[in-house]
Amino acid sequence: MDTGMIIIVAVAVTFILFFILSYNKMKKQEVNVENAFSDLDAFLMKRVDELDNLVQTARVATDKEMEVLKDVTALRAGVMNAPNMNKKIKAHNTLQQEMPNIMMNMESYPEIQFNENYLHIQRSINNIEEQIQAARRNFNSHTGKYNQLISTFPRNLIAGAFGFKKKPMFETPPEKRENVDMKALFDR
Amino acid sequence: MKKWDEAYQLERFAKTEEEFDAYYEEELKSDVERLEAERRKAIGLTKKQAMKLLPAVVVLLLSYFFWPFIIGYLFFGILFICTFLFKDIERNRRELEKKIKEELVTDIVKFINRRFTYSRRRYVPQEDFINSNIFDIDPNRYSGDDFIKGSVGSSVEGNPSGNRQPKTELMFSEVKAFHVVPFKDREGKKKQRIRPLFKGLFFVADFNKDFEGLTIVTPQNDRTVAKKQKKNSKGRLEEVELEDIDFMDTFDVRTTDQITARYILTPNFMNRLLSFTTRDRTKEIPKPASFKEASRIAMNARYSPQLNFVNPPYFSFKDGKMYFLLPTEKEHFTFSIYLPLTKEVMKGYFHDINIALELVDELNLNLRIWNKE
Repeated sequence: MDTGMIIIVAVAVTFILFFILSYNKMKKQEVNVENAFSDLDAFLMKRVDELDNLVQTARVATDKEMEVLKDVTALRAGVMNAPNMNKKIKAHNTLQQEMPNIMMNMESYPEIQFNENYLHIQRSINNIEEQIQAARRNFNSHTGKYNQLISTFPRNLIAGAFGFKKKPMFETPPEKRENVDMKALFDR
Repeated sequence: MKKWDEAYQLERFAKTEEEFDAYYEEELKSDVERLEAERRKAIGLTKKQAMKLLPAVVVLLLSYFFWPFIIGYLFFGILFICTFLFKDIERNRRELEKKIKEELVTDIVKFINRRFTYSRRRYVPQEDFINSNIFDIDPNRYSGDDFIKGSVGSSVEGNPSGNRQPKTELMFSEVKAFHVVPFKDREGKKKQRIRPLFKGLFFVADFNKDFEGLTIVTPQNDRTVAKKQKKNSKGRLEEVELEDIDFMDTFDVRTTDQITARYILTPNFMNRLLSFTTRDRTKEIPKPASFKEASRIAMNARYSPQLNFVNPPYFSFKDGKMYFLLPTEKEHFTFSIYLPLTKEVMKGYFHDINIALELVDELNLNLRIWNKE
């Protein structure tokens, strides 16, 4: 075999190896993103479940049909029926934006405000909110790495050929980014 | 008077320099002066004994020039007399140290927090050190002293929000941890290779959230830290990349679970942890008023507060507990019989104990808006 041939074979082998390793790396990262989303989704669903508990508690405590409960049911359905990751993220963001209003509306009923069960669920929701934030940051970290991987040269060529597409980050709604005034919360 | 945090309506537990100054003048000063008088008396005894030795030293010098053949016997004779004469001095020193620790350190501990207890000879158990899982190897030589344990919080009195405050348990002590490996040299002699792991203050506190698993926060590029969870050899610790660039420039983070690590290390908590670690505490100390005061502080430097963290600390979070290791590389709550017992020495003790409460205050360890009692 002459030198030219050896060089061609070496280049081809290097290229194929790079191709295989890149594909595997992107696939692995994509799986990581999906796993991170599954973890996040589990916490998000836990919040929906707690919201259900909250609704039940409110019903028992007040013995009234409240307008706010209809809103909760609609938001819950939005989350449950979302067909894909993008829609789920949107539905959860809407739910997150509506959460403070729901809580405030419920607390306008004195029989709920001092209900032991309600207070327990409220703490539980606080805890889940923190876990959601952690899972969201974990998901965004994996998504960021994945998006960076598939959009830099020369991997973007392989990504394009095999249909690896950029994935959306789970951004916090703008009002969530503001600092929480704990004093106001306690005084409420 | 109790202090409260504006943002979270939490009681602040750490004492200020001014509070300590006032306490010193009102209560501690007379005890310090009494023990200082005892120290001077002990020094007087040392001088007296040294004078008794002077003729023997003169005889030793003369024998060196005139009767060199008896110098060996003379040397051992003098050594024997020395042991006899200085036995009392050593006993005095030990008694004085015991008194200082049992009276002064205990008083300072009670001033800082009435619910704290102090034990001179005890230390944070080795099991807790191993549990922190920070170092790649477990210590097989472990010692310490000056153990302080207690709780903060759970008081309703004076709280502007009227809510009962949660309780945070904490304990800390001075600790020295080594890993000793015996080996035989080429000639077959038994020797030991001693690897120092840690020397400094070791704190264990309740964390304000419930969690399972292990997350360790260690100084950047420290090669001594653990790469896996030891109790379960399969539990490899993964590196965590967090969003805070300054935090990641200072620390490496490893965990058994990425989400738990982020649940503990929220952006706010990372900020607090970083500022607690890098804050310049010397700015809070008033400058010495005179040259005499400055030189006295310099003389006591070894026993004075090491306010800023010279070596970066280690943090570990495991199953709802927080472990904090501050490698000061010095002895704490000690004193030298040859140096005056002053307010600066007391301030050193005060600062070492106050770190525990700063930890609770600055990291909001007593904040419970989560499902933890």
